[in-house]
Amino acid sequence: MVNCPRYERLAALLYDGELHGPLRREVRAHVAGCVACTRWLAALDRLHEVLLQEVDSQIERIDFSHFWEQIEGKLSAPPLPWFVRFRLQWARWQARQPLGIPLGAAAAALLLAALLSLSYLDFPVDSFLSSFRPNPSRLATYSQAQIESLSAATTVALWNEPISNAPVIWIEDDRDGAVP
Amino acid sequence: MRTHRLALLCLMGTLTWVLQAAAGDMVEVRIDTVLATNASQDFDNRLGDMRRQLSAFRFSSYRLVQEERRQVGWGKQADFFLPGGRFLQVVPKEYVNEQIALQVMLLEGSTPTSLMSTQVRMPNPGSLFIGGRSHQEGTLIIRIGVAAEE
Repeated sequence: MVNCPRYERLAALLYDGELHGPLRREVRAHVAGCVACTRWLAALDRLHEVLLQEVDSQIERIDFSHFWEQIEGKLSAPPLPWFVRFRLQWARWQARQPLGIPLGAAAAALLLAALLSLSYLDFPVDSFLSSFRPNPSRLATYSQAQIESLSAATTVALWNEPISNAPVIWIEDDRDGAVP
Repeated sequence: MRTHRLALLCLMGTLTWVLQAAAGDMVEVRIDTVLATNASQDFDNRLGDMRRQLSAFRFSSYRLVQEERRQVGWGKQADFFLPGGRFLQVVPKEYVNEQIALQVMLLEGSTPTSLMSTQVRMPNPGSLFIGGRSHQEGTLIIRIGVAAEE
C-alpha cells in the first residue's frame, strides 16, 4: 500500500505514539512532505474511526437493564483477602488479652527460655539455628540475570549461555529458527 | 501503624533514589548483531570477546554485521535499527541491588509488530542474547550489553 519502505513502519509507530525524541521528529518531518506516508496515516485514521464506530454499535446492542442488579449481587458478600482476615483475628485476640502484656516481648522471652533450655540439655543449638540461615548458593542466584517477564508472538526457547550465564531468548523462525 | 508504613515507604523510596544516583545518570547500551551460519568455518576477529559465549550456539561461522554503542538515560527509550528491517527498543528502567532492570522489545515486519517483549534484571555489567531470526543465509544473534557507572 505504501511505497516508502524506510518510513512505512515508522509512520505506523508514529500514529500509535510509540516514537520519541529525535526519531519522532525525523519521522514527522518526513511525513509532512511525503504523499505516500500521508495517505498511509489517513488510511490508519479511517481504520481507527471505523473500528470505533463498530465498537460503539456493538455496545449499543448490549442489554444493560439488569447491570446494576448483577453488580449489587456480587457486592453483597465480598470475600476479604486472607491477610485482612488474619489482621482482624489478631486484633480480636489482642483485645481479649487480660493482662495486656506486649506480645512481642512475651514471644521473645519464650524463645529465649526455649533456647536456654535446649543448650542446658546439650541440644546442638548452633546447627539448629544454622538451618535457618540463608543458603549462600540460593543468594548467589540473585547475582545472575533474571527474566522477569516475557511475551512473544511466536514460540521462544530460554536458556542460560553457560560461559557467562547470560540469558538467551531464542525466537523460532518459520524458515530456520530451530534451537541450535 | 499507617505512619510507620508511610515512613517505611519513604525510606525505601529514598534508598532507591540514592542507589540510582550512585549508579550515575547514564547507562551504556551496546548492541552487537552477529550473523551465524554453517556455510563456512570463518570467525570474525572483531568478535574475539564473544568467542567462548558464541561457541554455545553451535554454528560454524560468525560474522559481526552491526555494532552500536549509546549512552542512554534511566527510563529513556533507545531505538536501534537491525538488519532485515528489524527494530529494537531498549529502556534501562532502574538500578537496584546492583542489578540493572532492562526492558527490551523486538519489532519486525513492514508494519512493525512486537515479536518479543521482555523485562530482565542483569548484573552490572551484563548481557542478554536474542537469536533465532533468519537473515540472508543465516541466523541473527543479537547481544545486548549494558553497563552502568557505579
